[in-house]
Amino acid sequence: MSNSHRIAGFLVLASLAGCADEIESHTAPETPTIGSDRATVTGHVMDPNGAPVAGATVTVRASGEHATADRTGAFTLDVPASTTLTLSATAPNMAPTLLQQFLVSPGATASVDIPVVTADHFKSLVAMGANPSGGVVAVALRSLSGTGSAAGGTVTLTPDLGRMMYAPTSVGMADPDPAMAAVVPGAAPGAESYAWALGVQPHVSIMQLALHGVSQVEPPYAIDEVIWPGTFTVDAGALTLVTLFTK
Amino acid sequence: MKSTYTLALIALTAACESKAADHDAALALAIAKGLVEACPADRSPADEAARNDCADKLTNFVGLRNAMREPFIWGGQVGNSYELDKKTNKFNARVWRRMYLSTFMFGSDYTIEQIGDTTVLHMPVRFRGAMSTGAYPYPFWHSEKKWDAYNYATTIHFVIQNGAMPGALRAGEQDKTRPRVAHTWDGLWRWQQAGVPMPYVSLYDYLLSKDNPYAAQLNESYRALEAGMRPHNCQACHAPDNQGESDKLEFFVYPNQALGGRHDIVSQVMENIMPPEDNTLHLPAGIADPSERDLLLRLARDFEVAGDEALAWEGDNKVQL
Repeated sequence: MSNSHRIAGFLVLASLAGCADEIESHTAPETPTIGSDRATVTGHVMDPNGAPVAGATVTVRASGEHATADRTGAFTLDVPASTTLTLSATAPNMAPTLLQQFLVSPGATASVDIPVVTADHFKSLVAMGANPSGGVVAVALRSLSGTGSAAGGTVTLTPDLGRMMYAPTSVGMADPDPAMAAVVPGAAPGAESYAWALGVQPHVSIMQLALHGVSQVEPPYAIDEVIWPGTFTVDAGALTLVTLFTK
Repeated sequence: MKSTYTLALIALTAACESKAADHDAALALAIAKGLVEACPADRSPADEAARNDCADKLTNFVGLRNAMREPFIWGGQVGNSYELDKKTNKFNARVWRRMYLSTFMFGSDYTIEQIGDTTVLHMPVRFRGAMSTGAYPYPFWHSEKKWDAYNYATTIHFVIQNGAMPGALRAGEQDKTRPRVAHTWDGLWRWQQAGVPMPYVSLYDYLLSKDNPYAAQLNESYRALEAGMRPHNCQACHAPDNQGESDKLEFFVYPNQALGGRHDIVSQVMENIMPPEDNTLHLPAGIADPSERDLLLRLARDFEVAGDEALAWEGDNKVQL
């Protein structure tokens, strides 16, 4: 290396010597304080005929915390409070059901019923669609006031990565699988209080369902210390349950 | 005479190239020393305070900040190549060094290699794999392969050319004897934990100074744009699982990461080339309704301006190349 190169190299190094220096820092990053409050989820696991599914396992997907349903299908699960929860219910010969993300206030108890369908029933649902790797989504429509109706409304799925198979818009339309009415808690055939979709792209947690034509309560909404954020995710091979609330 | 000129030109070119290489090597050396000083390798992989200290030092590391090109390219190395064009992500430089680079600790046995006109700094790394889930830029464990790639990474290759650093790559080589915490992905890119939006590092609260006067405006403009994008399915592809199989992916599902695409969103909505024609919905390219397009363009411009202002206040608004 020539002298001039050495000098140039030295100058470059000298000019870079301050590179590791810190410029004025306005703040430092912080780790938020995460509380340890707990809440409770209770409920029942049952098949579309209302029969209890004894021995079903109800699991908080993210943490793996779980409980086993007793002979009446009842379960009690201690969960972290104010934390997004997706519960899965699994049982032998049944397709998994995902109860979509919700948050329970500290110290509160949320009561949920989780339907599960047989693996064969699930296969028959998937067979109706063009995307066998997609998931099945069932939407319960609930009136917060108790007097509202979803009749005449339109359920849309955003992003539109699935196919609505039955929705309130289709007044008078026969459900391609009437048993789905029994899958959605509180729904009755012809009551137009439920919808379902097939072939929904798995793992898209920014999905939203919207109800048009009737007054929908905008998410996130809170009922009995439980908050629904409004977006949801889908698993291939699982039945996903989502609730929309009307005024 | 002519041959003398040619020889002189060749000699001059060679000297310039040599000087450039020397400069890049010196830059690599300075960056290596700064990384080791900012994020030493002897901390616990669960220590979030150490990570935050590292993030703060990297954010304010002048030499690194000045060298990083905008947008900055980051991804996994393909084979032995140092090309940055395939299977990579585009980030705002501040976002990358604060959120992503700080998830690593650096060893002092680095090497610097000259490959043609490219200088490559090979930094030995240890991944901070045992932090709380909200401390990662997104749930890397949404894919086992991705989680492995971070946990078992042995080296990061920093690519330096002509006095600038356009990108960095996680080495393809993995050490599977390293510890790896198991996580189950909930299927959610965003979630809440004890009332705190997660991942907390993806929020402007983590990226920007507390006294940044543009932070609230930036947050509002991002939220409005994010909501405006949903009807057009933008987030279905611009998410970590890369359903659209982009070669240089930009994330729109997180506030911080979306900053890297703020100029592209405006230009591509203006050109009406997004969503692409061959997306999963089999729709024609662009947004057909002019009023919907205009609305999205307005939201995108608001976000772009707010991002420019917020980053400029931090001294981090570079011209995008």
